[in-house]
Amino acid sequence: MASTDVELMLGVKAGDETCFEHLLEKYRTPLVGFLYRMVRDRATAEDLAQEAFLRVFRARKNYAPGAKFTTWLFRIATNLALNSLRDGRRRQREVSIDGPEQTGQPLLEVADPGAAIEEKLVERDRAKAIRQAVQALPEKQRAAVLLHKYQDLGYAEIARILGCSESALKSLLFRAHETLRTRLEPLAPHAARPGKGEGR
Amino acid sequence: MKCEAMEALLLAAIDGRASTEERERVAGHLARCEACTRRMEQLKATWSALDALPSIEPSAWFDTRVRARMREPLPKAGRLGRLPAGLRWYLTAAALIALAIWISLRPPASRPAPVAKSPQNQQDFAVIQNLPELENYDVISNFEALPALPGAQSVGNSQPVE
Repeated sequence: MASTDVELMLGVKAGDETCFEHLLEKYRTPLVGFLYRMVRDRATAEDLAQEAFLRVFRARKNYAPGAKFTTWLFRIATNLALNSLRDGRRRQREVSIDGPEQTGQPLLEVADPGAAIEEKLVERDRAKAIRQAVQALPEKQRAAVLLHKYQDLGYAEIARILGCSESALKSLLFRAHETLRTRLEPLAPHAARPGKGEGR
Repeated sequence: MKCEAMEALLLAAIDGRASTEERERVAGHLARCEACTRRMEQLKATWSALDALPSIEPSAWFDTRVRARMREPLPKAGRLGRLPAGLRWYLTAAALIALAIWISLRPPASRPAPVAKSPQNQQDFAVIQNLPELENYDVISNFEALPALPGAQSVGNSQPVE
């Protein structure tokens, strides 16, 4: 039977490292993905994710089942990302916002491999514009948008991660989406086309 | 319901976090508000556009690195770092206060003297100010016709003529 995060964390506290392995396996992909979208550098994202797991492990003796494990983990990760962005230590390694993508993957997976080259280029430009628009958001707004869009977390949990009230988070998210909408307006034929999909 | 009150609900309706009751309120408002309907469509488009934001998978050596770092000894703190955080704060504050007191009590000799206020400078300044009068002092005081001029008496009182 699958254990809950709290059970796993209590196991880690009791010295069972396999419990920590389970948590690592469960959360490494969402955590690295979130941090990559925050800092846009693979090496930094992996380093910060490792540091977040390490802090959880080192704090295991003081763990008390209260807030959700994901709140704790993503709060550590968000703070690490915000500090990393602020202290600018990674700036020397940071590629230009227009630089080549570091994933080794195309910027956008186009569903139809037979689509015209022109259409692929348009899609690529669109993906780049979206990345730039997200990157240009203030750091806290960016974190809110990324946690809201890509992590399966409720408003209350995201608010606790960011250290604000739920109503402040909703206001932050609305402002961020309004900014994104304005910035992505030039892509109107694609980005602002109504009813293209509802995400979740 | 006012349009401003709909803002947060529109997003919650798009992201699937709205309750059934909230979704019904949104649907009821949109049925009679064209501006919010348009805004809803734009927010939906932005929400969908974010699907194109690339992500990465952790590298193959991610777990190995975490395990290796778990085995690393904790970095040793210096003598100050081993003190409790509260005590460190008090020590830092005490050092800053001591520094401020030392700066305020420094001997004034180390400070540059104000130039315009020294007595010597004030004397020099008066001389320079009266220079044309002093240059002509001998000529004026020896001028023979001067006592005959009207009002010369008063001049003579202030500047005696030989």
